[in-house]
Amino acid sequence: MDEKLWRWIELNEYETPSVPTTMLAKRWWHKTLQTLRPTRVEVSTANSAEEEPKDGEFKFDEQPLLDSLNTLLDQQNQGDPRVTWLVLAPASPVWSVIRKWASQNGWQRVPMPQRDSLLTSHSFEELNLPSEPWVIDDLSCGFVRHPLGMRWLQAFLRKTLHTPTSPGLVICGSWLYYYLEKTHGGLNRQALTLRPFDTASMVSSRLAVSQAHARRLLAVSEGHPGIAAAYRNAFAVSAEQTEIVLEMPRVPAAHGETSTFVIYALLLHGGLSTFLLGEVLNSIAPNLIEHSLNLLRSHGIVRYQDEQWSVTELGYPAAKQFLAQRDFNWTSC
Amino acid sequence: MDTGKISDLFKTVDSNAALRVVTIILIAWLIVFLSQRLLPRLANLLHSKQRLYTLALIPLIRLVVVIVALVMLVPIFIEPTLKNMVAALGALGLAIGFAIKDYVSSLIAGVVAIHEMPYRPGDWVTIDGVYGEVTHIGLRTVELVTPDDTVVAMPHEKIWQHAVLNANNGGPSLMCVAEFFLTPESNGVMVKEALEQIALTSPYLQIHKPVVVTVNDEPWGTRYRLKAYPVDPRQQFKFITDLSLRGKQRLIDLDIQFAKVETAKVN
Repeated sequence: MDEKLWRWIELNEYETPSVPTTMLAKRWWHKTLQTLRPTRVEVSTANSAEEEPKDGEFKFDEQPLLDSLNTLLDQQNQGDPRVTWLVLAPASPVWSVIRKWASQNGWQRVPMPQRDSLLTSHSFEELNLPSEPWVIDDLSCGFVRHPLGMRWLQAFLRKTLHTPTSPGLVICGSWLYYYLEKTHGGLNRQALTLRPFDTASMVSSRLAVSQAHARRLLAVSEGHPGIAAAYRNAFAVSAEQTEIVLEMPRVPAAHGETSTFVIYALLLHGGLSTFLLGEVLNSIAPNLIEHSLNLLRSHGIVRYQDEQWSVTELGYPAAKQFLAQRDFNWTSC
Repeated sequence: MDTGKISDLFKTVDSNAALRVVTIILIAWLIVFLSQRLLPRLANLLHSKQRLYTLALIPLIRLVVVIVALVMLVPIFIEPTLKNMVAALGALGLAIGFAIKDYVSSLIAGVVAIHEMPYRPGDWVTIDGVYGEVTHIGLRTVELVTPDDTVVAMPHEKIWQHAVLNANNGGPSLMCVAEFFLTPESNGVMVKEALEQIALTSPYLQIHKPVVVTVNDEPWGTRYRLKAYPVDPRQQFKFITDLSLRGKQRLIDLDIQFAKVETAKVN
């Protein structure tokens, strides 16, 4: 496997890989059809992401990812107590290895409050960052978009504004990072993200079985390896196959406004319980939220798993496009 | 100018010419009709800038079609020599001056409105005290739909005498203001922070735009104005309602007292 597959780049250097014009034209045509026939409700035939994992599914090798994190943080010079932000797209493979990396390297996990308690606690204990290298493995756990739900996060941002005594690593979802950057006056922090995959990376990582497959995967995933892996697992393709169809779920146009808010809230928080989703969208009638969730679920855009609603890997590209059409294109990755 | 001279200006219209006239008018009408029916439908399926650009095409298409149709029609009736044109325009000016001055003033204002764009379809404007969304720009009038769903046909000629207040000016940015009236003893810093949080947590908020709280001391207390932008201008009333309701609730939770104004004192 290519050693340089996993490369960290500055967030502002991130560029979505270009997609072949024919595929863009196809996507535009499908979007136009959907715009002109908004009431048409199609139940997607794409495999639901709620299914149990199958044997023989593609999985990224963890070691190169761990190595890339080691290289990155070695470069950061551990004597320099700076805070590094790693901005990750939903379904990025880094989410699943970061805890392992932290325990292997002795970086201490910063304790975070329970999400449900963010809305009920009157005050939080003073946030003290450890004196040894520390990591926050998912910043969204300390945040709910609610007047009471941002207190812990704001205290954390204030704390890290002053130079901490030890290096820190903050793992943050791309949607949350962008929200914080826009609403909290520019985070002005060192933020890195994974370089997107191109067709060559798709092939060299063995994610794609052929060049044609790689191009298709690139078109649907926009270079996100986690999304591409989900499509690879959902649609079996052989190396000889020339006609490759990767069917993307479609976001139903009905209840567009509520669906927009629901999808955005789920992406911003990386998934929410029914209770917290209702609190975040408390100006929307609960029955509308429920209806929208069921509709989105039936189309394979969201799933309900472990008492959490979240956007599926297969539904993410469609959800992102849907939000972009409504001016909610609030993240580059 | 006697009647004989005026009638000399006009060509004899044979059946062939009549057919051409009917065809030109029919085609022009059909294009205008279709653009007025189809483009608003398409625009309502789109969002943000695409919606506004699509709506703005409608009056432009109609103006172009009317001009092209006139350019094609006039030579069918009149030999376009300098003498004939001067005579025809003179007669036309006389008719306009006496009979249809206001109508023509509105038509010309309509052309100016399309060129200068003080309002475009999709804009939220106040003209002569009426606030509403521009839904249609006709040849003579601009159609506004007020927040109470009343359709107001406003003659374009209003732009000669009245200021046009345009809240979003052809773009998707429209500032909304929610007002809170509190007692002067309230903790201003705490209120400002709480109101900012309310705006930042509204699902309608356009996060690319700033959230601002302004404070004014009045004889009866303190006025807080929470200013923010919704993602879509059409959501402005829902957005203001959301800010007002959640803002009030938050201030009540913080034990902040609302100003109670006695009308007699104010008067």
